[in-house]
Amino acid sequence: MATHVEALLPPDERLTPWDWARRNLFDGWWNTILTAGVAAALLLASVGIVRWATRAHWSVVTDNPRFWLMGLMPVELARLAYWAGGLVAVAALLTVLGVRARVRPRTLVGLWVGILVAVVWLMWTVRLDQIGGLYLTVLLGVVAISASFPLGVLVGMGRVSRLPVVKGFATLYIEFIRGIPLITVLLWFFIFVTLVSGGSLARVVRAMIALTIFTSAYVGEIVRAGIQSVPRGQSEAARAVGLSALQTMGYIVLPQAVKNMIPALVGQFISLFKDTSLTVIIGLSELVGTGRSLLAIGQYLHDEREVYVFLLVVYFMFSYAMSSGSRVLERRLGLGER
Amino acid sequence: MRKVLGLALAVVLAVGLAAYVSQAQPPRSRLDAVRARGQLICGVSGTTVGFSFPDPVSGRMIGFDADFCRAVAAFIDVPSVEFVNLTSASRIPAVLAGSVDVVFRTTTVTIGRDDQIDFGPVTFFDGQRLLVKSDSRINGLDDLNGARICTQTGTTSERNITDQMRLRNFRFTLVTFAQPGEAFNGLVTGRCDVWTTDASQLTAFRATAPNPADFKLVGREFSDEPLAPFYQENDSKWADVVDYTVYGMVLAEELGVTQAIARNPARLSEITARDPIAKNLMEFKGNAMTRVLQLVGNYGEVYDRYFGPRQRTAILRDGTRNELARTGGAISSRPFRP
Repeated sequence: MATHVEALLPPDERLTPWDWARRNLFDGWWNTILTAGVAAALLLASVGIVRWATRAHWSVVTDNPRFWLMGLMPVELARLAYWAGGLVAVAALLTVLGVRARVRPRTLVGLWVGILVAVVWLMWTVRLDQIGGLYLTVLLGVVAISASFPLGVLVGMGRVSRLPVVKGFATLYIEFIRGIPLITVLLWFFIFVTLVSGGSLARVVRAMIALTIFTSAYVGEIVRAGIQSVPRGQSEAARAVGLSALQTMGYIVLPQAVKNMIPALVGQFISLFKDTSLTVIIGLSELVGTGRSLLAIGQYLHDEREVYVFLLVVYFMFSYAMSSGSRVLERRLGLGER
Repeated sequence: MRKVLGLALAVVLAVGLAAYVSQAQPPRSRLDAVRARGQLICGVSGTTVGFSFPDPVSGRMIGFDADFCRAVAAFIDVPSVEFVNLTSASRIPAVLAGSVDVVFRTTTVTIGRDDQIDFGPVTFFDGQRLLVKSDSRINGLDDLNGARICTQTGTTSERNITDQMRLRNFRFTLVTFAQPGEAFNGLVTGRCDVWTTDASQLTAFRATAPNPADFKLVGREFSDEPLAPFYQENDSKWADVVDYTVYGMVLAEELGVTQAIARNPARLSEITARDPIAKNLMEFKGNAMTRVLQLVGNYGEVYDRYFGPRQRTAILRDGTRNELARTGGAISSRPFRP
């Protein structure tokens, strides 16, 4: 005997905004008080912020665009730097449009290689130590990210290697670097490396090396986690059909692992981008250093809040762009849908 | 077994590094290194009003300390100066490691520091005082019982005020900040009753405040802060360069040789023909001082450029130790006689 089960449709939850507000914000006197209180606090805060923003001395930002962009770069070289920055900005814009239009990745890589060659050619006469401001922040970030990714992959592969020496070195490197703060690594490269290198390394290069070495250790751990997240059957199957260990890694494990690593990797790179501001302590004038030195000019002595609010906005914009980029990438790769 | 192997590796690495360090340091003067490099690397603050700060328009580092850096470079006829921004914590390690050739960074001469590095002649006599709001009842150190005191962390100012308070058995609260601007803000917003640091900084922040009459400097100078350049120990050839640059600029002021005169051969030869000391000064070390005076001017001109009565950050020179020795101050030179 079969019972008849009536298939109930889910309740139709389409509410008018008013109904939604009544059900979620004003059900009962306690919730109503809370809503009113939070709304009042938000209103007061935003009025205060807007009031401050309209009265603030934004001239510290608006009067010095070149200084914020490139710091103490000699004026005669600034024109080249504008061209280089413009090229990179155009390339970034084209990339965004290209991703929207689903251009082949190979085309985009070609575009960036071309732009990079053009930028290096333009900036050839500029010494690294003459770059400052936003340019230096972006330069440090880009170089450290692109150098620490391959290095990190190597370290991560070493970490899961079956060769004891390789594994030992990779583990030692990761544990050693993770055990010391970034500031220490930077100071070490600023002060002690001079004793060996005799001052031939530009400070910017030192910062790049320090940031790369530091981040590679973290990337290495992310890569290890990514590799270990790929089911063992995958590599066993690959070996069974006759692929060598390297081929297994390159064709089977890494492509799947990299997909899984993207969220963690982007998080690490965003944190690296923000950490470039620590290079202030070895005397580099990147974005934060630029702001701090502007504060030493007589007419801007009291514009501390303006400078730091502006810095907050700029860093947020770049970090947000990076995380939106990673979201697009995740969607393209169909992450979380397998 | 593995532990032993790791230890052995560490020992080998350490010995190798030590050997490399010891053979990579040929005993030669920094003067030769700077000449070979064709560039002077000068440590400054880069974020101290009046002493070293950027000029966004020209893209150059300017200020009292920065001009002395340029003077040292002109003295040895080196065409360019690279400015390195140093924090108060990194300035001595940077010199010890040889990352910078000389430091002009508002550094007080102390016996403790002299154990590690050598100081040149004093370029500016500063002293610690108190800044309060105009309606404050505080008129000196003796009124500070129970006061909340703003100061910058890790400076001699912090140590001095603590000593003074202990001496008087006063209760007090220190509110410390990283930057002078933040400390001034602490005074404005009422987080403390008094801000104490070197008078040069207090004067600058008071003079540039929206309404300078809201604040007053009170009490006598209760610390002696002779600010001087410093460089590596036991390098008398290099020490002579820095020292005689400063002495020469002071002597030029005593003799009345200004930048305009140094740039005008007719007027210059008129003075050198009359005064043998002036002739010695201008011809010293292959016209070294002529180049210096043509580039930055004499001591008084550099002082007036940044602290003169017409500057926003004016610091009164008359009646202080920053006057020339012959008019009752303490800024002195050496007789340039063979």
